[in-house]
Parts: sequence; C-alpha cells; structure tokens
Amino acid sequence: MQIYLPIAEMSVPIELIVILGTFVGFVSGVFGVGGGFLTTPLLIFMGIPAPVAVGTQSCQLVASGISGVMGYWRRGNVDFLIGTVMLVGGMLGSVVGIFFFSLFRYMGQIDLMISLLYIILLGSIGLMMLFEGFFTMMKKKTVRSEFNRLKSPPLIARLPYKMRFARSKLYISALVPGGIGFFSGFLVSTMGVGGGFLLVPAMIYILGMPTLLVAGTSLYQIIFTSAFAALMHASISQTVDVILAFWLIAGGVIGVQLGVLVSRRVTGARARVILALLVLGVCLQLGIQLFIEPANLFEVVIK
Amino acid sequence: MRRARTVLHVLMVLTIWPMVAHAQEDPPKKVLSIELAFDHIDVTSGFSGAQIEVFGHRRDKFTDVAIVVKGPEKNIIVWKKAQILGAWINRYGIRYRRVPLYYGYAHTGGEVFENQETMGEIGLGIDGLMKGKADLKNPATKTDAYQAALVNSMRAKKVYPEEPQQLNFINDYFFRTRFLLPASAPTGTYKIQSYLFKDGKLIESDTDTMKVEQVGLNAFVHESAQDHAVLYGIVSILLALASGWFVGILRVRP
Repeated sequence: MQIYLPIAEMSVPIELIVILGTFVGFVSGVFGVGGGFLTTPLLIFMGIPAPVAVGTQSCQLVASGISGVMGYWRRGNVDFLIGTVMLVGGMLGSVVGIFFFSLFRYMGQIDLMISLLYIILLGSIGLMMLFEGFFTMMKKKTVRSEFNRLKSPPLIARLPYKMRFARSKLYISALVPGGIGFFSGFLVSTMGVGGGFLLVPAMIYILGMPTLLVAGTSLYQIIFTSAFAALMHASISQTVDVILAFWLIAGGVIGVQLGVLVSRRVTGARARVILALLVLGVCLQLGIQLFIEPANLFEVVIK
Repeated sequence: MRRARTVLHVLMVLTIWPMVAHAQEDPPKKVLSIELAFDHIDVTSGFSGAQIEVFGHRRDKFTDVAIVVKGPEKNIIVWKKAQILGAWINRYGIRYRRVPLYYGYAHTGGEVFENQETMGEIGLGIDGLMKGKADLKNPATKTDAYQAALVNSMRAKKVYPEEPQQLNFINDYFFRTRFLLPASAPTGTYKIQSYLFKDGKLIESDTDTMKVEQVGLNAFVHESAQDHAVLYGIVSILLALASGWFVGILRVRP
C-alpha cells in the first residue's frame, strides 16, 4: 500500500517503511545503539531526500529510545547520573554541530563530508570492536575483567571536577562523560546519527563502565540528544516528516522490544562482534559508493 | 392599471437589455479556447497519481495547436563527478534557472513544430523548454551532457515525457488530451499554456492555471510544519515520546 508523505512530498510503500523501522528498532534493542547509522542511509536509498531522512529519524530515535530504555530501566540497568552528565555535553555538542553543518552546506560538498565522516568513524570503530570482541571471545575471559584492565589511563585520571558515580562504581572527572556526550551531540547534528555506535565503545573503553549498564544509559542519553536535534531540524529546516516518523516508530517499537529480549541471550563480546560487522558493512557500502566509478557521473540537485 | 403597466415596462427592459448589452460588448472572437476537466487535484494520503485532462475547441480547422503543462519551477544544479584522490566527488556544476518540476506537451504535429527556433521561443518540446535555462559564465561551455542528465533524471521520475502527447480530435474542431501526473509529482501551481499557429505563425496564446494541493491531514501537517515550525517540532517529539512510552508499557513483562 502506497502512502503519501507530506514533508518529503512523495509516495512510498508503507510496508517498506514499517519493515525498515522494525529492523532498525531490533538492532537498537539488541545493541543499545540508536540505529541512526542504518536508518539514514536506508531512507536515502529509498529515495527520501537526505535532509528529511535525517530530520525525521532524529524524531523516530526519541520513540525507539524511550521504549528501549524502559526495558533496561525495569531491570535497573541505567545509570541516570552519568547519563545526565553526558546529555548536558550532548546539548552543547549539538549547537556546535549545527553551526558546522550550516558552514559545510554553505561551502557545498556536504554530502562528501558526511560520507567521509561515516567511513572514517564507522571503519575505525568497527575494526576496533571487531578485534577486541574476537580477542575476548578467544581468551574466554569474563567481560568484566577486561574493563578493569582498561580502566583509567593516566591522563583521564588527572582531569579535574571528579564525581562519584555510585551505580557504575566509578570515580571520574565529569569532563570525561560530558566530553563523550559533546562528541555524540556533534555527530547527531552533523551526521544525523544517534551516536550510539560510538557511545557504546566509548563508555566501555574510556569510562570503563560495566557493559550491563552501557546500553540502557546510552539509550537514555540518546532520547534527549535526538529530541534536541529533532527540534532544531523542525524549526530551522522543516525536515521532520511526522507521518514518516509515525510509521517508522510503529515498526521501531516492535523491533526494539524484540531486541531487548534477545540482548539478554547475547554475551558482551559476541554482541560487539556482530555490531562491529554491521558497522563495517555500512562503512564498506559507503566506501564502494565513493571510490568506485559511478554508472551515472551526474547528480541532479533540486534547490 | 398604472401598476400593471410599470411591471410590463420593467419586464420589457429586462428582456431587451441583455441583448443590447451583448451587441455592444461583443469581444473579438478567439479562435482557440480550452477548458480543464478539473481546476485542482487533491493530494490525499493514498495519492498514487492523477491526470490533467484538457478539452479544447478551435474555430478554424486550418490551424496548428499546441498545449504545454508546466509544474512549479525551481533552480536545479547538475553536478558532474570527477575523481579526486580516488574518490568520486561532485566537481563541475551547472545551474539551471527556473526549471519546471513537471512538464508535458501535446501538439497537432504540423510543420511548424519542426522549426527549432519557434519551439525555443515558446518553450515547446524538451529542447525548447531547456533553451536559455543554463546559467553560464562562458556561453561556449558544452552543456549537452548536463542537460541530458537533467532530462533523464526527470524522465526516470516520470515527470518529463519521452514523447509529445497526442491531441485527440473528436472532429476537425474539438479535441482533448490528458497528461499523467505520477505519485511523485510536485505540489503547487501548474500552468496550462495553449498556442495557436496559422500559416507557421503564432497568432494566439493563453495561460490557464490549476492547483495540485495536499488536502486533509497531509495539508494540515504540511502547513503546521511551515507556519508553526517550533510548535510542530515540540508536538512531533511529544508524539514520539508518548508512542514510545505506550509501547514500553504494553511490553510483555519478562
């Protein structure tokens, strides 16, 4: 069944949107990532204008984030204090990111910039997670001991404004989670991704948080950061399509609940290997698009 | 009695007046007149395309007729990619000004329509339409490939025709034609232009307009997003929060 989208100003098959929402929601629930790095390219691939894809999915992330976080919350797997410190940084990061986004758009070549950012970020993070995940699986160590070993490099230990995060059993400078949040907010506004794929490893490797708390806490942070980004997109560029968002949410809320159920049967290391392969797949696809001679050398852009 | 006569006078005046008025204001007779089957098209939630149907009449059968439909106009940039450090990026761009996002045309197919100059003047046919649209610093720049890319992209979206439409003549004077609007057709004001040629010369032209508009929930969403952007953003987020929360509560407890 075809449905007309009032902001994208085009017709799309409704089933395709719901399936896409379910798939991304499932990934979101299993790994505690927002799934924006999948939604944005897939929506654009369906022919939806890139700004509308970015604006709309930031709104959709709010819904899949909240239903996802509830699953973790019930089981007490959210560190609200550290999450709140992160989202304060996230808001600041969004504002800076929107400034840069406008600047790149003014200079042209925003598409190229976004592709390169995706390739660099997804590629390096994917590889890092893949090797670490395999390493852990080979050694058959518990996930927890792995983090204690990686915790608190000397530079981070010397930073001021130390706070005690009882839930995560951490005594660490507020600048560290704040800085991670800032970077995530910057990514939301420049690349249109929730940043969960970056938050999860950053929280594991840099903060040294227990894996059990990471997914829930990053989802909690993503809700607010993406809500802030959605508001920016709606008021500055009018690119939030609420009809498209509704159907994505309808699919996403189903998917995310399934994902949360599945996540309890997946060990930390194995989950990271699967997520790493997913991230590398998207990275490879973007790389192919950029480096292989396109069949059509021309691109038609309607202003 | 007096009253009856007054009534009679009034009746006489009323009967004769229109005739007199008509005789006085008789306008110059147009040879070509066209009429649209619908003066607006509603884009609803289930919009899957529509058609613009045009009826026409010419008083003189020894004339040539052309009908042109143009959708809302926008500026378009056509980029050509080139390889820089291995990556294919948009390198050379040509801007086309005021290109209609929908285009359709039909004509009687006389000799006049083979004259490129005439076609260019009134923007008839794809080449005629694109003439002079490119925004060039150096007029000698070769733009054929860029223009072809633009037209092919529009044809792929079914908003530009491969070939002119047929004008179907019911007799020597009455004709009709229809232009298909795909589901992806842009919304806005469409111009329907009619041209009449006699002995190879343009003697009459006229422009009609029609609206292709979103209606119902679609129109409401579209207008809210434009006119109350911040409020629209807040409501969207609240809806997302509420639906996420609702499903979170409904979730089967582990």
